[in-house]
Amino acid sequence: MKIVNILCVFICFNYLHLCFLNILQKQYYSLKRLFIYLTQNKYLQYEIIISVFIILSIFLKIQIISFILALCFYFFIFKDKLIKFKITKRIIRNILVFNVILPILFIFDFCKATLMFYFFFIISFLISLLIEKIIQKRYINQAKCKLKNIKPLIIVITGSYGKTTTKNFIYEMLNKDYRVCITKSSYNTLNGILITINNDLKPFHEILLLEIGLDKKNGIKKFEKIINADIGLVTKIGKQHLSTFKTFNNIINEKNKLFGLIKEKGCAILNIDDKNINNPNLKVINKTISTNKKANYYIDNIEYDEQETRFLLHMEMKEYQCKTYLHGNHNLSNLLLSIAVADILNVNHSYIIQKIASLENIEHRLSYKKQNNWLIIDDSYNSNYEGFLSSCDLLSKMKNYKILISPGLIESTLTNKEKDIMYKKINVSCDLFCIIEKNDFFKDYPFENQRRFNSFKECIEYLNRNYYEIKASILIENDLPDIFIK
Amino acid sequence: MNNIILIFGGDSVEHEISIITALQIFKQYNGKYNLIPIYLKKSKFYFISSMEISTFKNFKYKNEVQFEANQNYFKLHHKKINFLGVWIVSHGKKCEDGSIYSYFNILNIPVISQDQYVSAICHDKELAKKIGKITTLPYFSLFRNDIDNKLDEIIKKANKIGYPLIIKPCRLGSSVGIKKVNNSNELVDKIKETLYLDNKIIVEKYLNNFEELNIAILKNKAKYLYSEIEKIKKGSILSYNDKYMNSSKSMIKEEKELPAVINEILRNEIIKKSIELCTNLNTSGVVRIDYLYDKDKKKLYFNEINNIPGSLAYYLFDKVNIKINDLIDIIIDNGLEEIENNKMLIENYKDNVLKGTNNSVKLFK
Repeated sequence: MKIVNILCVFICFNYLHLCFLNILQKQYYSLKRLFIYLTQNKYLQYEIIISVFIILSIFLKIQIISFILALCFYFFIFKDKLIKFKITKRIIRNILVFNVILPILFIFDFCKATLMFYFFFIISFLISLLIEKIIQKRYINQAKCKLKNIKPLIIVITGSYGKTTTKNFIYEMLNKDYRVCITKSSYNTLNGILITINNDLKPFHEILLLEIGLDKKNGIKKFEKIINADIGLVTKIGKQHLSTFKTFNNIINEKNKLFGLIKEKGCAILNIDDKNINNPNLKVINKTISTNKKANYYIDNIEYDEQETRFLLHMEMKEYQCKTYLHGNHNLSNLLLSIAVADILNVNHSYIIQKIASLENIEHRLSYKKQNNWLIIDDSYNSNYEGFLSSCDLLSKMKNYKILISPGLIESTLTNKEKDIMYKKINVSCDLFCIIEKNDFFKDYPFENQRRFNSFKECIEYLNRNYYEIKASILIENDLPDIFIK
Repeated sequence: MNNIILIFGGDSVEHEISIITALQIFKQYNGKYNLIPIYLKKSKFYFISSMEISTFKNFKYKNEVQFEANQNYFKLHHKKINFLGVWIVSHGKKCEDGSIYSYFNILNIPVISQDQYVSAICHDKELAKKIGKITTLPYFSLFRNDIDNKLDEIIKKANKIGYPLIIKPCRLGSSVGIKKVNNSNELVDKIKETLYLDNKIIVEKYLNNFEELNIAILKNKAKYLYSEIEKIKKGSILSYNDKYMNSSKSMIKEEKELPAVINEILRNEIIKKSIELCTNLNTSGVVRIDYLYDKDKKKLYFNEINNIPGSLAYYLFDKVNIKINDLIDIIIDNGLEEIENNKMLIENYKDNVLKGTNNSVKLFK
């Protein structure tokens, strides 16, 4: 009987543990966020009911039955939690640690043990966190050693958005003259950077191009020990991750601390269009860029059309007439940042101009696609307010029928005033606004050009039925599944 | 961490030159890579703990090393030694012709060298001339069987070029087996003699009054850098004995002029032609290109290209301010980069040939 009990607890605990890990994974491995999630979704209330139920069953001596009932109950409330579960090394580590400490449980009585799940869950999580810290320490040392050995020129990029795009632009600009090691896709956490340094950085690399994501206060501290950069740039400061930063001022301070990573006589590139960016590090040389006023690198005479953007580029003293396939103001300032880096590193000017004309946007980041009568502008990776407005600007410049599809921004806290500006902009820039009601973001959109859909599929079906013959420009915004366009 | 394996030796006639090259590299290099000398002798690899000439004078077959497929390390006394890649600096047949490259390529171990195609083309004296698209002396080539089947044709061709002629084994390095033929009577005998050395022979016009001009070309980031040009003053073509055996101190004894005193036009011609040749052949790393300059007609002829030149031709680069450390770093940097780029190539296409083949297909009769 005892063995059956033990086995039951073992299975039940592991099942519960998996469910919790899954939720934890989606809450970015933060216990605090997990707790908030559980209370918000009334899991804790369920938990209390189950606990009371179990305690009652101790007195009634119907342990097995109660146990099975509890299991069913757990299964019922968590049954959708195991879908889309990503098994990572961290999860495996957690499971292992959990199962190693689980036998301690059996010094307790079976029923009391059932109540101790949370204790075990937290302990095992903390232990595996400790293990991770130790492993990370080793990786940090390895990375430091490697950087000391290879001595590449380091370029660091941060900002609220546009990091990856800028990084790719810089890579394109430098790739011919230098051997550049680059962080893969959007690896921008400390671990991602350590992986890049330890695995991808080879002795022949001359430049190490790092994208640094800062999503909480004092997040930069971890990087200070490892990175001693030559060039640093902040793309733009927006209100991303406001929930972890608490105040907008904190974000500004934190992002500007990036310039502190630059070593003496290094170079900081400042986007003076953004008033929030300023360099507190006095030991470095400042270079400025701008899309609308005079700076070290700036552009004017900007002309848009459906295909390309033309502008006059001023690089220090020289002027060049350029054209590019890139669109949107935010993209131009990203482009300017990369031009500045290329010029500082002595890339041939004619090569820079040539590259500007050939750079293209990455898919889902404001990329163009022709489909029958439609011109589809895919900006579905975008998830920030400024980017949204700038894309709307772009749409409004189109000459044919204008359609905007969006489910709204995720993870953002806009003030009512900002939302108002956004609504007005949408109203001006498009003829039809398709709202996908995935979240309640556009719930109070007041204007009449809207149409609401439950899913993206529904929306596309509707467009296919009614707008197939019409020449239209369709802008797709914000985090949509990317299966739709064929 | 930055270990690079230096493979030298090999079982060719230039085996000792390779040892000297390796010793020179090893003694003078102190760059960012850590070179591990591995000696290839009698088809086996040996780790060399002390890089001295005396080690090789009477070599004790100790510390044998085995390379395993897909492993970037070798074991020495049960200790794992990791490396980034293997760098080949051995000359001659079965080394320079892409054989060692292919060996490591099959084992899936990164190799820093010309790939097998370029190596083979450079190594074959005739192919280099054909594919390089460059002015050469009149020549023709023949294979072993041709001596029996097409003898008349050979004599006709030889007559057309005109005597005296030079006979060279087509795929043997250095100046081994080079013979001068003064008239048609000697021709067949000398060809037969040379056929002991190689299956393919190249017959070329003999120049009476010439200079040899050498230049080395180094690839760096899709660009070719050129070295100083050296002139070797000798009235007649060197034999292997002339070149190496007489010298007691160094391998390079001939009367050399470095930098060569030549006029600017010729200099530019050599540089332009060399870079063109390297582009045509798509060489990587360092190569040395030898030209013959006919003093009477004032004309430049391509003679041969050396894809792993003796001493890495560092003495030529020294004069244009690329010191041996930089030279080696550039070679290894570019080699490693090329390896990384090759990894990106798509090698496996998912094919369904076997899956799609149902049992009714008769594979065998």
